[in-house]
Amino acid sequence: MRKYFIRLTGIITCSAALIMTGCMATTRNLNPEEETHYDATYDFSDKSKIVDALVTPLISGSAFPVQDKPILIVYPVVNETSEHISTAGITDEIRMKLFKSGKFRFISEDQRTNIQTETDYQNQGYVDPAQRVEQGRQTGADYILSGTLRSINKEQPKQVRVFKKERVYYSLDLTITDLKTGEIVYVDEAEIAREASQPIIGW
Amino acid sequence: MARLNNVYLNLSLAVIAILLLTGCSTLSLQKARTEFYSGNLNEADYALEECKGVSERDVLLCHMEKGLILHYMEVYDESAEALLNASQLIKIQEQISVTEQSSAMVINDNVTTYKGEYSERLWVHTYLMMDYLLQYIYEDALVEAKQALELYDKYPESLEGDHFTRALIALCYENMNMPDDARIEYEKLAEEMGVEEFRPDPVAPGEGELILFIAQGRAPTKVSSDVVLPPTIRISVPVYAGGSPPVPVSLLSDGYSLFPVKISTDLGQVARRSLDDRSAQYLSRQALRAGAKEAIAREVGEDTVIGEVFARAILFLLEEADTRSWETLPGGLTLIRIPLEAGIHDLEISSAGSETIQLNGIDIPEGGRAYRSIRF
Repeated sequence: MRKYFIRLTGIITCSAALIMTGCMATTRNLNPEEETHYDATYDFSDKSKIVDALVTPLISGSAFPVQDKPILIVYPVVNETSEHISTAGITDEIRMKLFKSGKFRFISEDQRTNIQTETDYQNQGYVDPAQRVEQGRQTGADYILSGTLRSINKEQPKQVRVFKKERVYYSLDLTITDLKTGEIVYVDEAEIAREASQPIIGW
Repeated sequence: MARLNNVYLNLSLAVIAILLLTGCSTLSLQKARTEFYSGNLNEADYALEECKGVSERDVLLCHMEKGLILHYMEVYDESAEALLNASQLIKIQEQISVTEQSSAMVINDNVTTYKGEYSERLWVHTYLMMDYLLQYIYEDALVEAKQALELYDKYPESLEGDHFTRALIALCYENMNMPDDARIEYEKLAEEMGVEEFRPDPVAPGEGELILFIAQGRAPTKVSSDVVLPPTIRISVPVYAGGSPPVPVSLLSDGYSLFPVKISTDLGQVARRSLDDRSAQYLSRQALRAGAKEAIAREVGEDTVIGEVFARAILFLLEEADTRSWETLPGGLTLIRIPLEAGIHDLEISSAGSETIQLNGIDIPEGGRAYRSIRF
């Protein structure tokens, strides 16, 4: 009887342990520099890679030899891919990396309406005249920085197969336009091509 | 005798389980559809909640129905969210499940996860394009246009009759200032419509454009079409029945009749062609299932004749066509582009044999576009 009881307790304990470990939620930190791709589509590893490839030549100075600390206005990167990609993240990262290099100055395009609202408020008589921001004193941009993200997808044609292959090609182009002359003064492109295969049959 | 009882018991339990499994999942979907067609859109949306109560096999249908209900509630951001879930699910569900296919081989196709007809997969992107255009999010509308184009390339014969979606894709390209891509789509549209050339005229200075998405009637629903072969082989296949094609609409703007460009799609026609193109797939599965069921009945019959009769009766009853479909879809979709002078306009839209819808205070921006989606 005692033997039976010990065996039963053992089985219950083992089962409970297995169930508990199976159901336990786990979390772990990832290294953002580490490349991890679950499928062929765009992910966060691509963002850093593509932005670095475009920003490094600009920071090094050889590709864009202009006057000291030019003022840039960054327009949102246009998404022309077939995926819903938040290109605002790419725009922000480009601006952040260029800013940190200390070689460029920036004008905030997204804050224009807020600046207008704030300065209008200050000039309505609520703020001390000595502390009011004088209107018409904003800095003008020298250049417009714009970009477009594009993709080409190709799926393996229908045939007898066990895995479905997909190839995706991404390109991000970056253009700097001189505001005074309208001349394009800098163009560069970064590319990523990837192939992923997925089993057609699963459990 | 004991073995026979076990066979009866197992089969009876299996039948009850299957009936419960295939039946209860559609209750909330059915309620939502009934409320939708009774004009109670809020109740229809409420019936589906977050699709949590719906069987995993029907989650795709839930997202599709929810997306469409929210679209006609004019909650376009939430509609897009539901339809994006549907779009994502379609991609995930591309993988063929061995477990499901094995169950379907002895029961019926209702035990498999609903993956959507080719036409329905396209219309997920069609409604997403409309949702984004109505919110003036042109980049996301273009993303959906590109995904719709991938489907046109994948299933060209099934989908070529959908002129509405093709015109919508061209419009998405126009909005993103990509005239070459728009031209290619208009050329394909002209070819599909059998006309020499099709291209909307550019708006004159001082004008803007009103884009109307008009939905009419109901899409056909799937019903079961049965063929019985001796001794007890039942072949049950889905066919589309009913539905209403788009009918002409008349437009009055500030009291004047308008005769703008209209591009229509009969959704029933496209859906039927789409199902026909998949017929080889489900007919071959039917043949395999008939063979498997016959083998099971004979196996049972080796022990007892009554057992075989009982087994045949159950297997016969289990044979049911998969009649699941996106039921809140309209029967027809029409895209109307109306050039109007910039400013505020009132519009009256009448559908033959139906009521008139008033659209008042539409602000047409100069050189820009305003969008409205209505359903008769």
